[in-house]
Amino acid sequence: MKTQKVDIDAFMKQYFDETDEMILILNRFNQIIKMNNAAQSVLHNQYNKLEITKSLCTICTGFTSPDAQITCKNCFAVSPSNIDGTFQVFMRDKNNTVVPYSGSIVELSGREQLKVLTLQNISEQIKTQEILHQKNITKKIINAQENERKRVSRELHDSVVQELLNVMVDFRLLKYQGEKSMDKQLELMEGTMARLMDDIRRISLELRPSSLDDLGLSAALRSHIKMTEQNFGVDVEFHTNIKDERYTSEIETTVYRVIQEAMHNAVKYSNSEKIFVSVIKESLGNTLNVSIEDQGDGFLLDDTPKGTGLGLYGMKERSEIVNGIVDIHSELGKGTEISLTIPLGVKS
Amino acid sequence: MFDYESAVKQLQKDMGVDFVGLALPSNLKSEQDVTWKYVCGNLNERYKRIHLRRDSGVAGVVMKTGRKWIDRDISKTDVGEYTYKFPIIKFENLTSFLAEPLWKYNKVVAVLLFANRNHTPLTETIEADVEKLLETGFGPFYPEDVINFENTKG
Repeated sequence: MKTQKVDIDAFMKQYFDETDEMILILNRFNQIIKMNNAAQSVLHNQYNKLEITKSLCTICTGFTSPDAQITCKNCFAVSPSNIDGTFQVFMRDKNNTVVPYSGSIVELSGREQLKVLTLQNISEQIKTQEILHQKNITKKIINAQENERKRVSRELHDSVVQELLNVMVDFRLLKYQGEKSMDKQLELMEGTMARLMDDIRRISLELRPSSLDDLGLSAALRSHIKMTEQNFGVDVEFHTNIKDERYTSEIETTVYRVIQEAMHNAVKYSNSEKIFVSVIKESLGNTLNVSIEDQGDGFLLDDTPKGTGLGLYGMKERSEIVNGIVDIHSELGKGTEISLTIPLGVKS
Repeated sequence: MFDYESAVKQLQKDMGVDFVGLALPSNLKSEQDVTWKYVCGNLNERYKRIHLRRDSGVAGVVMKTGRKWIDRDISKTDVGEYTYKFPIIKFENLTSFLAEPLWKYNKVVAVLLFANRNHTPLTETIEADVEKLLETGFGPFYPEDVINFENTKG
């Protein structure tokens, strides 16, 4: 039996020295009392500082908990018994860059209360995950872009070309018209041209309302709201105190698009007859508060989105451009409120 | 002036459906500003808010394609899935419908909608019945694209 025990000791020692896994042995004050070669080669840099304090905290920047990405709250080293399995932890390497590791900690029994912390570098996995996530989002964005182009191209083809064709046929018919029916024919053609103009105006408006650039936010919003009311038969109540004030193009676009998206969501999913929209400049003039509210079905924020999920994502991304904050509040059976707060900088 | 209101009421009675609606432009020649101008059997007044476009909604699709559209159970089709795009269906809680194009000046300018609620099925013969009713035209309109219809009519 004795010979075998020696073997395991030697084996453990060899494993400790040769493994790629970083192994740190901590005492009960969380001072590092021993590191294996792998750990030393990565964490060696702060040697002097480590020599004096030997504290784990000189290299550890925190770990990931449900509370935050990097936190020291409920430190894994202070109360290892609270930690189940592995956790993600961030340590400084030789070059002083913070690297993510997958860590596990074992508290040894005995009076000395030694702890063994093992670390594995997972920056590669995280990178892969990020790339995958990015790819997924990119795929959705490309799809959305393609769909939008499809829509515009179809509208041009179906309404504009169609009406032009009508006009062409009418022109040909004119040749064979007698004096009597000429007037009626011309009147019909005039109608076709008027419809054609309406169609082109509408397509252009749906792409981007020129009134947003020319007349400002409230004018553009009013015409968009009127169009939504007519197309979908909903009732929209709009309140604003910005009059015809102008903001930077980024802010105006963000507010317009967020309201557009939120209103469309309300029309699509809320089953609400009424939508409340407000754009209010706070009395001190420092922030712009936007809110879109319905008293419809509501939804659970954790649920998988009914659509692509790009809508809410887009709202957040857009508002970040202008340092705005989007807040989504929804309750089943009560309705949904989306609010956007934008800090106002220097007016353009 | 043709009495649309009584005509629509009569149609509802004749066909025994829950709802009949007539989508009309304010000006027949320019075909602009299409709304559900005459309805019968409506639940509320929300239909008044709808302004139709030639390419969307029940009437829009029928105007664009020039063909009748029958959907005997919307829960099985896109109409049920995207009801928000078909406000008249949504507001009136319709579950099945027949939309018939009405022609004037060789164009579809109006749409007649026959519909039921509460999953009451449309009669098997509704298409033929409506066809028969409209055989002689409806007000100023004629039921199909017949160049000489106006001439033969009178």
